[in-house]
Amino acid sequence: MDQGWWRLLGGATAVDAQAGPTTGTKSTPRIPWWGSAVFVVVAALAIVTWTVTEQGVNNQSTALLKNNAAQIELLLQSALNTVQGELRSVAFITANAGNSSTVLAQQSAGLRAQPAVTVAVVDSSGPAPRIVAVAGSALTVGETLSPALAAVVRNGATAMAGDIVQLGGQRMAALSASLTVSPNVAAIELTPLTTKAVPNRTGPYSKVYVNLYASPKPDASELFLTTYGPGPLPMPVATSPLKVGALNWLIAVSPKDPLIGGAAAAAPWLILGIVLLVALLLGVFVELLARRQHYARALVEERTAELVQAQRTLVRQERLAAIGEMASVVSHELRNPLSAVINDLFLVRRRAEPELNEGSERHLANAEREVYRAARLSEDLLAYAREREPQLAEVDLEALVAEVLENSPAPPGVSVTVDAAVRFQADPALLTQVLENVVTNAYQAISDGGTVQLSGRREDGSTVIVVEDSGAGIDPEVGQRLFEPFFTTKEGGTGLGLAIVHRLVDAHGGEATIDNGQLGGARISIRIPGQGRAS
Amino acid sequence: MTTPRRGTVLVADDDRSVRESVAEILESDGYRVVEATDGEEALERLHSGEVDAVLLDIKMPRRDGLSVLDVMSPPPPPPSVVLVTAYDVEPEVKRRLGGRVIRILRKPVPPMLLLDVVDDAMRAAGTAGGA
Repeated sequence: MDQGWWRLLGGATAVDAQAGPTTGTKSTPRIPWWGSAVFVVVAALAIVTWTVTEQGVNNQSTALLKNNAAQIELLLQSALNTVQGELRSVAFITANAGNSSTVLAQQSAGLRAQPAVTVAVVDSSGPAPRIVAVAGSALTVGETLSPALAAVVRNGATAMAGDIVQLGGQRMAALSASLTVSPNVAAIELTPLTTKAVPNRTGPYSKVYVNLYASPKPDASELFLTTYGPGPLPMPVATSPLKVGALNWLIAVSPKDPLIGGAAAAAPWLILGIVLLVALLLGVFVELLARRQHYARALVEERTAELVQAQRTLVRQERLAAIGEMASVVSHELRNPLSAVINDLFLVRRRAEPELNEGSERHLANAEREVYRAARLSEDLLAYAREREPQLAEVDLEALVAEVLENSPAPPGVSVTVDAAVRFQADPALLTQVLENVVTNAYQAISDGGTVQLSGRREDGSTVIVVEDSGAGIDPEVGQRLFEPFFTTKEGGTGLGLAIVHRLVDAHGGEATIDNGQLGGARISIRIPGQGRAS
Repeated sequence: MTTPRRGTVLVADDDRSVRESVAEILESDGYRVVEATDGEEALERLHSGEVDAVLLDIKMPRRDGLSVLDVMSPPPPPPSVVLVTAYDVEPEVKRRLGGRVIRILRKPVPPMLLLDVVDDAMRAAGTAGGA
């Protein structure tokens, strides 16, 4: 999947997290959690702000509601005063008209805006208060008042009184007021109660629901008036006491909609939303920054690891070069002492020869052999350590092999077969050395006699030279290690012959491998890339 | 010396052990040997004449063997020159030397080979040995 876009944003991918820097040894640092932290902190701030603002709005709202309740109380008080005045007026006129129900009906038309309302005049001068005039159907003239109604009239003797009474199976709101000049004469108004809401869609208080209880507590059975309907008012509710004569009534007010306005009520939520959004954006921004930084750090670590690796390689190469140079100097410097020793041994032998006994002869031969071996080692070291850039020329393998076999003739008992009709590009001097070493190696493997096969052919754009012997073969476990310097399985070898082969073939961009072949012995295959043809 | 004179060989080498042992081998085989410890001395010996063959080391103080080859102008007939060196001689140097050197030997040189080569050098210089 192409994750380029994500990288542009500075994102570390899952692949990065799994793989880590490609060459480094350090583990990938964890992606920081700053983004989430910033989000959480700012979101917490948002919630605190919301709480405080919401509290403020609620306080404001409650204050407004209380204010509404207080104003409604004033209004109702005034309305009750008006009713009181009207009731007194009706009572006075009716009493003066000889308690005429007709007059009462005329005078109480204002009070009886609804036909179900009954207005009556009561005379309390007798042992029990009784009806003397009536307009409406709830009461009849001459009727004695029920104790509940009588209590209302009694309470209304000095001031306005009211209560809820049961009358003929009907809940009635009863209001009563007596004449100040003649307290035995009172007028009562009975209004049938329902829990049906009296709508208040217009007017200054149309924004609130109002319940009026004929008790100091919001008792549902004492509900005198409601603009809401049955059931308790929805919260929040503000209350205000209402004095009805000696009685304590209660006004309960609840807003239809937030009193301080929808926008103000929505403000806390708006603030919460905006700050949460800011928190989210900040979180994402910080997260991106963190990821960018994380990515940059991983990149720096990767590059640093690469640099360290490169520097190590360089140091190693320099060390190897220094070792090579030292080997070269030591090898050269050994050549003069070796020359002197060889010459002196020769002179010793020449002078002593006539009377050289068997023991001295053996020691002398041993010294000569070892000094030549030291010379060979020095030669091999030089060959191995020398820096080479192959000078390519066309090589006739057949001719080159003939030259090699002339310089390194097969020992007695060893037969060599050659099938090398191929020409290709290589450094003739280096290739000669390669073949000399490989052929010498084969001779040594069959010191008691045997066969060496040397062949060359073109294959897949390369030249393949195979040298195979009929010796004991190699231990497959050892395999390619035979090409390492100083790794030898032979007694008296320098351990550099095949290492030199490997280096020289490597310098040609080719490869040398060793295994066991058809003849039963070791088989060394050399592949040298480049142009060539069968000849 | 019971063996007859077979010609004069100049052995130019700054390593005393090598120079002296080579000289002794050649003398024991009947040659007259003159020695030089550096390039300048080799030039002097060459210019004094009577040198038939030279075993010339390359790396020497004061003047190296290749420089000796470049500037020497010995009285005729010119001696045969054999370079004897511990170092590799680059292919381009070999080409530059052309026919001025009859053989380049790498130290250590087996004494029998050395004697063969000196014998060849004497023949090339027209001073055939008594053999």
